[in-house]
Amino acid sequence: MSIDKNPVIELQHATKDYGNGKGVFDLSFTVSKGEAFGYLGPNGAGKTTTIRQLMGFIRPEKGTCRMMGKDCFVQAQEIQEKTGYLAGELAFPEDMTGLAFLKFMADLKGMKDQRRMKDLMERFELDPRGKMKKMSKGMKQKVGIVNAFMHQPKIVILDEPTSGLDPLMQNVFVELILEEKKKGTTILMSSHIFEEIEKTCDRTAIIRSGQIAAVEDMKSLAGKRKKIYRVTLENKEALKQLQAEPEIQTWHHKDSKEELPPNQADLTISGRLPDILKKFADYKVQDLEIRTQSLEELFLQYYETDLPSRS
Amino acid sequence: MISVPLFKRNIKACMMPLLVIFAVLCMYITVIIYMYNPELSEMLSGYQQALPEMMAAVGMTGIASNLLEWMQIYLYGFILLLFPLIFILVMVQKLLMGQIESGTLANLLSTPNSRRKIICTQMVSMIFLTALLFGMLTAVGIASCEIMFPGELEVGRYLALNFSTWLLQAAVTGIVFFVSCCASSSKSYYLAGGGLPVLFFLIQMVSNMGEKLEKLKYVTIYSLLAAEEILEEDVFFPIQNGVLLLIAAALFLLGAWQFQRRDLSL
Repeated sequence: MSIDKNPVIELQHATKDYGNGKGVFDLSFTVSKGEAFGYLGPNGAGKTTTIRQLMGFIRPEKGTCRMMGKDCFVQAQEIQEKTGYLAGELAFPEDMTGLAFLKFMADLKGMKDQRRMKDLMERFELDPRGKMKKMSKGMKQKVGIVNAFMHQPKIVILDEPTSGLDPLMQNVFVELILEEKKKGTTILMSSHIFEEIEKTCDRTAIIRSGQIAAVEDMKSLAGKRKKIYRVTLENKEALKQLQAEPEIQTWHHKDSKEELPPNQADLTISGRLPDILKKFADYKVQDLEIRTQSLEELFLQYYETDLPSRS
Repeated sequence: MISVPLFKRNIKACMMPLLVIFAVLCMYITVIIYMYNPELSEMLSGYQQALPEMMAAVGMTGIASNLLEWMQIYLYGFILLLFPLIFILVMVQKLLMGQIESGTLANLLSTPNSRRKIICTQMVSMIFLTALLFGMLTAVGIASCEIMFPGELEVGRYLALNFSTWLLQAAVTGIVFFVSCCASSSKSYYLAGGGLPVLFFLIQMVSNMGEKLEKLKYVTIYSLLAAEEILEEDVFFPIQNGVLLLIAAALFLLGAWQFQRRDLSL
C-alpha cells in the first residue's frame, strides 16, 4: 500500500473514551483523494463515533482528525463547504415537508443551482411533498441521500447509507457511488453489510470494540478468498481418509449451524487442481459443489480474533 | 454573522406558540384594562386588607390612582412574569434543546455554517421573538387603553415599564439558553431551565409577603423589575435595567461559548 502524503481524510491516534469500554481508541487511517473507503464493523463498534469526530461534532480526547489538512473540530465550517454527510440515525424536523427541508438545506449550503437536487430526487424516485413525520424509514433515507449529494461535494461521509432502502434502491445507490468515484469524489462509508462495501469500496477498515482490527485492500482481499469444495463420498471412512491427505484441509466456519451428513465435508485445497480432482475421483466422489468463500466469512475471521484488552 | 434562512425558519417554527401565548396575554390585558375603575380599586384594596399576604405575594399591593398603576398592580406581578416564561421554555426547546436532543442540529452543523454563526442566529432569533411578543402586547395595551379610557394612559411610562419587563424576560431567556447550552437531555433542561425561574418567582412571592423576608429580594431576578421607580419617579432606565442587561449579556455569551466548545452526540 502506497503512503499518500496528502490524504483527504486522516486520523491519527484518535481517541474518545465514553467509559465502560465504549468509544474509539487510537484510530489511525488515511483516505486518499478519489478513494472509496469502507468502514465495517458490528453495531456498537465505534463507527458513528468516528464519523462524529470527522464531522466535528465531538472532539477527540487524544490524537487528531483532519480532512483536507484541516482540523475537523476547529475548522469544521471550511470542511463542510466541500463535504456531504448522511447521518446514521436520521433526524429531520418533523413539521417540514421533504421538499421544504431540502430547499432549506440548499439555502443553508448556499446552493444556487438546484438541478442536481431534482436529478437525484428523480433517480431515487423520491416524492418529497409529504411531511417528514409521515415518511417511512426508506423515504427519509432517500431524503438524506439527496441532501448529502445535492451540493456536489468533494468528500462524502455516509453512515450506513443503504439502511431502509429496498434492493432496487440499493442498486441505484451503488451506481451513484460508482459514478461519484469516477468524478474523483472521496467517499467514506460505514456499514455492517459486506455486500455493499464489496461492490463500491477500494479499501476497507474493520473496526471492532473501538479499535481498527485491519485495513484491507479490497482487490487483494478478493484474492484471499478461498474456494470451498463440498464433497460427498460413499461413507464416513472414505471421507476420513480423504481428509487425511496432505493437500486437503477441512474447512469449517464457527458460526455455521449447518449439520452435514457424516459422508459429506467442506474442504479447501492446496496444490494443483487436476491432481486434486483426480484424488476426488479416486475416492469415488459422488457429488461435488464448489463455491467461493464470501467476503463476510473472510471478515468474520477478524471479528472472531480477540483483540488485546485495554487496561 | 447570522444565517438568514435559519432565522426565517426559527421565526416560522416559533410562530404558533408565540401566537397562543400572545392570545392568552391579550385576553388578560384587555380584561384588566376593562375592569379599571377607581371604585373597584377601592373594593380591591379591601381584598388587600382582608388577605394581605395572598395579594402581596403576587405583587398586588397598593391602591391604583391611575390606569397605569392599575395595570402594574394586576399584570406585572404575576401574569406578565410567568406566561412569557412558558413561551421562553417552548421557544428555547424548539430552537436549541430539542435540536440537540433529537439530533436535527446535525443538519445545521453539516452545512458550511460555523457553530458560532448558528448559535448567534439562535440567540438573535430568541431575543427577536421575545421582543416581538412584548411589542405586540404593548401595542394591544395602548390600543385597548385608548379605546376604553382615551387619554388616561401615560404612554411614555407604559413603554418604559414594558421595556424593562422585556429586559427581565431577556435575562430569563439568558438563564434558559445557558442551561440548554450545557444540558444534553430535555429532562435536565426543564428541571434547571424551568426550575430556576420558577424558584426565583417563588422567592419573589415570599419576599413580597413579609418584612423579615424582604431581604430575599436580593436572590431573585424578578425583583429587578423596577416598576415603582418607573411609575413614581421620572426614571426611564433605572439601574436595575442595567443589571438585567448585564445578566442577559453574560448568560448569552457564556452559553454561546459553551456551545462552541462542547461535544454534541448527534
